[in-house]
Amino acid sequence: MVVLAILLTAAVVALIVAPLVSQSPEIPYGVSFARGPITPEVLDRMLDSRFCPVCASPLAGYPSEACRVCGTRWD
Amino acid sequence: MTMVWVGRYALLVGLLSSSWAVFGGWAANRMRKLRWQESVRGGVMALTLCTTTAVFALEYLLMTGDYAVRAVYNHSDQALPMLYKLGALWGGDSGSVLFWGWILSLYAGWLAWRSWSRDRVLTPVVIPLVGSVSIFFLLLSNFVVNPFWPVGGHPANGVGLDPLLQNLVMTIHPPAMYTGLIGLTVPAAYTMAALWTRTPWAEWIGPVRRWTLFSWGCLSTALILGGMWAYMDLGWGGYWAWDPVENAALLPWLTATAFLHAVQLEQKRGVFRGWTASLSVGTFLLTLVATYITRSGVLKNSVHSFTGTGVGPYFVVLFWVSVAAFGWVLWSRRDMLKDRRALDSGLSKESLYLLINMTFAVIAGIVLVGTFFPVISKALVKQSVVLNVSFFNLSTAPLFVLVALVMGSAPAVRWHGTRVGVALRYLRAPIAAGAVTGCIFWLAGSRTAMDGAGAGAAGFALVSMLQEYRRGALSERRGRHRPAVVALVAAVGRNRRKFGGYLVHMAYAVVMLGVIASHTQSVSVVRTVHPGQTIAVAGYRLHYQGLNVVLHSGHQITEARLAVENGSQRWEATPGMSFFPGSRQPVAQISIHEGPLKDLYVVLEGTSGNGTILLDAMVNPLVTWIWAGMFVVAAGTLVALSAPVSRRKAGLSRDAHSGLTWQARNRHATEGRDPL
Repeated sequence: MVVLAILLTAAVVALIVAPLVSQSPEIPYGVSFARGPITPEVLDRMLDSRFCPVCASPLAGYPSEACRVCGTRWD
Repeated sequence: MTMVWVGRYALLVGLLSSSWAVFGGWAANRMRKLRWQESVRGGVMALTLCTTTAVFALEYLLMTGDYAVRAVYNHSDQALPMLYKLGALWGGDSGSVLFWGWILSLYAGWLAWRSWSRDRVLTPVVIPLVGSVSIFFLLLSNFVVNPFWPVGGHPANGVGLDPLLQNLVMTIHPPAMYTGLIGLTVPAAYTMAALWTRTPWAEWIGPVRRWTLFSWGCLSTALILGGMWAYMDLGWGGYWAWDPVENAALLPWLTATAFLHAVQLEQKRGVFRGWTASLSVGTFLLTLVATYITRSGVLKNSVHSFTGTGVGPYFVVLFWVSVAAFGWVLWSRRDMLKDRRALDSGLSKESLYLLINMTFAVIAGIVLVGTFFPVISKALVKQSVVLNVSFFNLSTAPLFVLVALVMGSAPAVRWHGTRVGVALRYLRAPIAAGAVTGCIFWLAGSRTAMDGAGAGAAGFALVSMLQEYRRGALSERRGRHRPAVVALVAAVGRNRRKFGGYLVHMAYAVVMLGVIASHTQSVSVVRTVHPGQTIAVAGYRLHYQGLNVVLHSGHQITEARLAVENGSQRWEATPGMSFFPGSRQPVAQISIHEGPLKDLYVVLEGTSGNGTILLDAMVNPLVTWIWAGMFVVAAGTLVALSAPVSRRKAGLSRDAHSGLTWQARNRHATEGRDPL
């Protein structure tokens, strides 16, 4: 019983805590495609995910021509 | 006892995880902390893991027969076959609440796993809303009806599962019902999240439609399975009695059906937005009403007996909290509920969709008022008045006939309007088929105007749908020399959403024919029969040979041996009565000889010491059509669900605000700019 409880606790803690203590830059899930030039495919996926493909911040500037956070242009 | 503690621990950790999913999710969204959002996503997965662990722990206890646990003691015993031990999980309130919470957590897990990457703005708002309902069920499971609580002492055996639930259909019906009802939480959460975040309608209504369609398909299947169980197990020869618990499940089905049609209007024309959003939310609220009716015992006139643990009042609290929250969001986002354009008048697809919506809403209203009439009358005149089957039949039958007529007419009518003459020419074959079907049913014994009209309308709708399939196949064959079957499959594959819907409409017509025939043309003979005597009913001859007593899976069955003749066909029927240990009432073992056109349904009503029996023999026409309709509904739903998702990318690009975060959209709205 103790082993099962420990395993369950470990899994839950890993699922909840791991993203909080992650050392990786705060890039949201699903935008790792965005390294490199902004091709039409990248733009298409960007519209789907609605995060800047370069700095990963929410597309607060869209549909303007540049990300308001990092300045990346996609026109 | 090990698994008991694992289960209890998992429920507690699940409650903490869902709390994090709700409160952490809310904070992450407010402060735009992406890492927190990821953590919330992990919290939802943890919730799924915990509830799954708890369910497996309880199933383990049921399988191994740990009768010191209350849920195991109350709903299982040593003699219970393994399949029913599995189903004993949802045999009582405590297991049902756990099961409900588990399925909801699976939906939440699916949202976190699949929908997260597709929509990183809306999904993090949907998840806390689904999680808040999850918290409710986990609070109940932990502190009100914990299935792992001890019974006191160490009993060697349990009370056993209700004999009426020991049926294969009853093993499938509750999970299908739960999957359907619980699934309707997600569309409501999506609607609220989308309105709150001012997400343009084009971006969220598609996923909401798919979630609703899936739940609707499960609910439709479950409703028919419930009828099948009543027919096979209860021994009164019917399948639907307008019992409060049956009505409770029908109510969200009616509004979900209306919602699925309202979505079409929104997607094609951008109208009835307020109505569409209200239906989505209202359907969820009706699932709570359904659970309340089922679990509270507020309506004493139900033959169903699920009550006893007092969980009902908690559902009332959840209901009113949900009403307040949804009402507030709908009111504060009323600018989003304005229609994009006016509705075309006259004979148009729009007006038919509107009519079908209104019809389903009125049916839902009648069923709701009729179901709660004992409570309403008690409050008004201090006397509980129960409305009987005739009220429901008389008040809803014309509306169901109207639905079939509209359904059959719809393919002939275009968006923006069609001339009546054009529509009538298009519908010549369905109209002829409707007239013929009405006449056949009239001659077969359905002699009231409503029965004839109902059969005619169902025949009309069925042939209208078949005509659409034929037209689709012909269109595929034009210019290409394809076999008819290949062309048909290609046509369906090209427009799965449309043809899946038509398949569901066909199922409606088939079920309607089955209901009318079995309701109006059924023949019954109730007679005392001595050994060696023969009785006749509607062309069947039943020769009673004697009584047998057999033992089966720990219970005793007294069965009558009957040699049956129908023309050249001969077989043996053995209707009986089962006596389960610990149960005072015998359970009927019905003998049903099913056929494509009629069933011979024989019930042993009673026996005497000298071998004389009281026999009820019925011939029920077209009941198998109702069961066949269930498979067609399921097939149609799957075909419609398999249609590729329309992401509306073009609409997304055109939409000046679709890329905004929801905080930005709200800012724009408060600044007076058009959020859509």
